[in-house]
Parts: sequence; C-alpha cells; structure tokens
Amino acid sequence: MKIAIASGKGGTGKTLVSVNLAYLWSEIYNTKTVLVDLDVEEPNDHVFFQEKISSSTEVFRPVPNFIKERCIFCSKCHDVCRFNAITMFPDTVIVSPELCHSCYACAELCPSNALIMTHKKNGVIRNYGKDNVLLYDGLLDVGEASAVPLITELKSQVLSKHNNSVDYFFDSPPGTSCPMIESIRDVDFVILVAEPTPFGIHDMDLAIQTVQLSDTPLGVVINKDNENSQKIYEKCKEYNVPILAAIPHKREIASFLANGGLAIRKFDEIKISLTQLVEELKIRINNN
Amino acid sequence: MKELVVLSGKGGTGKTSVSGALAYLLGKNALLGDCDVDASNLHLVTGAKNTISEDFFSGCIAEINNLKCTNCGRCANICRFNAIEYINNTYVINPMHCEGCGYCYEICPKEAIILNPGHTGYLKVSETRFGSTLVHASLNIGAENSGKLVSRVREKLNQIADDSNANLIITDGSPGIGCPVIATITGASHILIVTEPGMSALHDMERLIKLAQAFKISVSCIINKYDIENDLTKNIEEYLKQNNIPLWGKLPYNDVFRIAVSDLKTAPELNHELINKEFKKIVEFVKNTLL
Repeated sequence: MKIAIASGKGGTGKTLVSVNLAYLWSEIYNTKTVLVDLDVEEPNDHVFFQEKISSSTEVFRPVPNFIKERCIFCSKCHDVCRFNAITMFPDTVIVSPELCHSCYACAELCPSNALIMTHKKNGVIRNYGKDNVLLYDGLLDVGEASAVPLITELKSQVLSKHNNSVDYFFDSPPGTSCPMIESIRDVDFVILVAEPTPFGIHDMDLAIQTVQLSDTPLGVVINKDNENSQKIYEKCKEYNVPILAAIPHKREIASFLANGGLAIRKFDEIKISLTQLVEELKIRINNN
Repeated sequence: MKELVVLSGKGGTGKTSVSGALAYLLGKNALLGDCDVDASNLHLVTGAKNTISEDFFSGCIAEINNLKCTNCGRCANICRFNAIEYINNTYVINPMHCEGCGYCYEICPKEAIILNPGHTGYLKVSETRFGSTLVHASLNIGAENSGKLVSRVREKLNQIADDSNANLIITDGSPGIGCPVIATITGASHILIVTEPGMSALHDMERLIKLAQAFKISVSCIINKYDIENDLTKNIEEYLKQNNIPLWGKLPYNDVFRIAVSDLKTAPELNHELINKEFKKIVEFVKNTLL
C-alpha cells in the first residue's frame, strides 16, 4: 500500500505528518513501513528520523554524449530536440545537459549513432534505519534544474527493493507542478496537509484539483487547527473531500519541531490526531 | 533597475509575509512580482484587482489520432515518461505525464500523432491596494514548465520596469532550489532569504546559499520566529557571520502575523510597535543595498 503526503503550500506540516505516521502505522499494525522523502530539492525527513544514515549511492540521469567522428552533420538531432539542448555548429554539435529532458529522441533517431546516452550524476539516494521503519531520501545536486528524474528513480529503486511486502509513505515536495505530480503518481491514497489561513486554503484548493485529475482517492489533514478551520471544512465539502484529522497548534510544538525529533513521543494530542488518521486511512483504503 | 528576490529553501518560513510587508511599506515605489506560479499567494495579501490576464503557451502536448493509429505500439515503447497507455484496445496519451518531447511524433509510421501547443497557464498584471503593480501567474492544474512561466513573469516585470522607469522590483519566490527557483534568480540583483530557527530551515537555507553562490548573486537574511528556539537562532547568526551574509532583521513569533494573514493584511498594517520598527529597519537595508 502506498500513501502520499502532499500540500500545495510549503511548510504546512507534511514532514511532521509523514515521519510520525510512518512510525505510528508500524507500531499499530506491527508491520514494516518505508518512508520515502521525495522532496529531493529540500529533504528534511532525516532531521526527524530516529536512525542514522546507513548508506548513500549516487544517481544519474541519461544525457547524450556526442561522438564527433561518427557525425554526418545531418542536423536530425538538432531538429528533433524540442528543448534546445542541441546546438549545431558547422564542425561540431554541442549538447547542453541542463536543458536535456532525457527523452532519447536525438540518440535513437541519429542515423549514424553519433549521440550515445551516457549518465550524468544528478544527486544521491540515501537510506536510514534497519528495523521496522526505514527512510529513503533523495538529495538533488545543487544547480540541477529538474527534480523529476531523481524522484522517479528514487521511487522506482525503493519499490523494486521492497515490493508489496511493506507499506509506503511518500513525503512529497510542496506545490502542484511536475515534482508533486510525479510524487503522487500511482499511489493508493493522497493525504493533503492544510493549514487554516487564506494562503493555506488557496493552495489546498489547487492541490485538491491536481490530485483529482487522477482517480486517486484523497483526504485532508488540518494542521495548526484553530477557529478558522471551518473554512477548510467548507472548501472540502465543495469538492467532496473528507477531513481525516486535525492537529492542534501550540508554540511548544513549534519549538520542539525546530530541533527535530518524533512529536508523537512528546505530545499526546499529536499522537491522538494521528491515531485517528491511521483509523480513517484503514477504512478508506480498504473501501477502495 | 534592481530586483530583490525573496526566497527560503524550505516552505512556510514566511516569504510571502515578508514580501507583502515590503510591498506595503514601499508602496508605489516598488514593482511587485510573484514567481511562485504553482501556489501563488502574494495577490491575496496585496489585494490584487483589475487583473489583466494573458494566455501562456509553452511546449507541446502529444495526442493520438485514433483514426490513423494502427496500434503498432512504437510510441508507447519509446516514451521515457510512461505517458502512453494501452487502454481498451487503443493507445492514449496522458497529458499529465507527457513531457512534450515529440519523440512519439517523430517515430510514428502513420503520422497519427499530433503535437498541440501546450496552454500551460496565465500571466497576470494587477493593481495592488498600495498603488503598485503586481505581475503574477497561475500555472494550469497539472501543467508542465513552471520554470518557463516564471521566466515570462520576470520578462514582463522588466518590460513594465522599463516603461515606467521603476527602479526597484520585489519578487516573491517559491520553495525549493529547482527549476522555478533557478528561473527566478537568473539575472536578479540580490536574494533575501527568510529563514527560521529549525534544523530543516537551516539545512534548506545552506543549499539555497550554495545555489546563489553558483549564480554569483549576493544574499542577505531575515530570521523569522527567531524566539521559538533562541539557541538555534544563535547558530544561524553564527553561520551568517562566518559566511559574510548580512542579517537584515529578526522577527518574533507573534500572533500579529497569523492575524494579518487571516485578514489578508500585511503585518505592518497591524501597527505592532516592535515588529514595525524591525520592518522599517529591513526597508532601510533594502534601499541601501539595492538603490
């Protein structure tokens, strides 16, 4: 089973929900859970995770490498590349890896095999822990433009390693564009974490519409719950999206989270809210 | 013309609260931009009105003409984005996953694939409550190319700045360090990082500073909610000092910010003496550094 945690707006509490949910789920169902931090631009789950890093491997994305001796200067590669990643000169071809989307069109359509796909490092995948809760995260190299290839690679490596033997929690990047869409792809359920402010509700609205482009069922967790949460209930009713749990807000929680650590061990109110979330998820995922 | 970009790395540290406060305090003297095109909020707090919207097209989205398609499956085999699925005996392209690379279009032996221009969002120009102009955008739900829409926002900002002789642009950015942020900082004059005392925010700020250094753009910093963990705030101050990054101000953890956002106001409009004093100091730094 695969559950993604996303939000629209940044800083609403995705990481708080993801890390604590992965531990709580494992404890309640006495099962192994795998937490995957897909916010590869700014991964933070490790700050709150209880175990140390156990391994780190480099990851690569495919980009074409030009072999001048084979080139017949037909300009096919340049003509098919829609990302302006290939520049033709009278006596050479220059590839701009930062513009390349790794579609393979240039390499596979080249009649003389002058472009060979090679691998450019774009980040690392790290893993933490060895017991019932494992964490994997990706760390995009600074200056790499697209997070999507690393997100895809991270998901694929983790899923092929653990198959269906564990339950997965995908902590997604903020926003509603490509990295978020790639993160929630092919999951069984999406949890949107929203806070009761006009910014939070505006971005939750966009996130609900994005998730609803697919048929993936979703629900909302309210974080920093207060008197304005009523507006989240109203908005969710419009979209027929259930509210699964509400996490209260206290200054002490903010101070605790600043230093990292597992909030369910420290704050009963968070443990109660997330236990309710676990129950809601079990009912809703079984019903689907 | 100088452009100050407000960024954070981590989301939710208070970028828009700071951008909004600067917008209020600088009034007509600043042209405003919002480069967070997939979750924009600055228009809410600045009371954007009389919005003029234009369509934004970028890249293309492939579509299969099933009358010509012979189900050979070559397109699905070569698509590296797994955007082509075989459903009910026909091949279908999922526009959400199509990257617009056109490889399928090139390889189809029956010319059954059409490349449609991708309508990916809207570029918007609005008037704010403060008498200034705001350039913002909205990415269509599920659309690609947020980086290109960000570049379009900045192109428009520069054009308006030239036409109106504006000398200062304040731009609110998005979280992260990927393509929208890279598009936001390319060619900007200065980055203002809004951080908070927390291991996450600190980790994310360090990565953002590396990015800024790679682009050779100078950086300053504001610590928001500085009093929730004084020890971590000291660590941040020490880090800034070591890296020669000016600290423009420290904002307290205070209900004023929450109330302001809830009422769609900026924090200085609530006239909290200490907070306003700090913001005035920050505005002086903005003027002295950029003008």
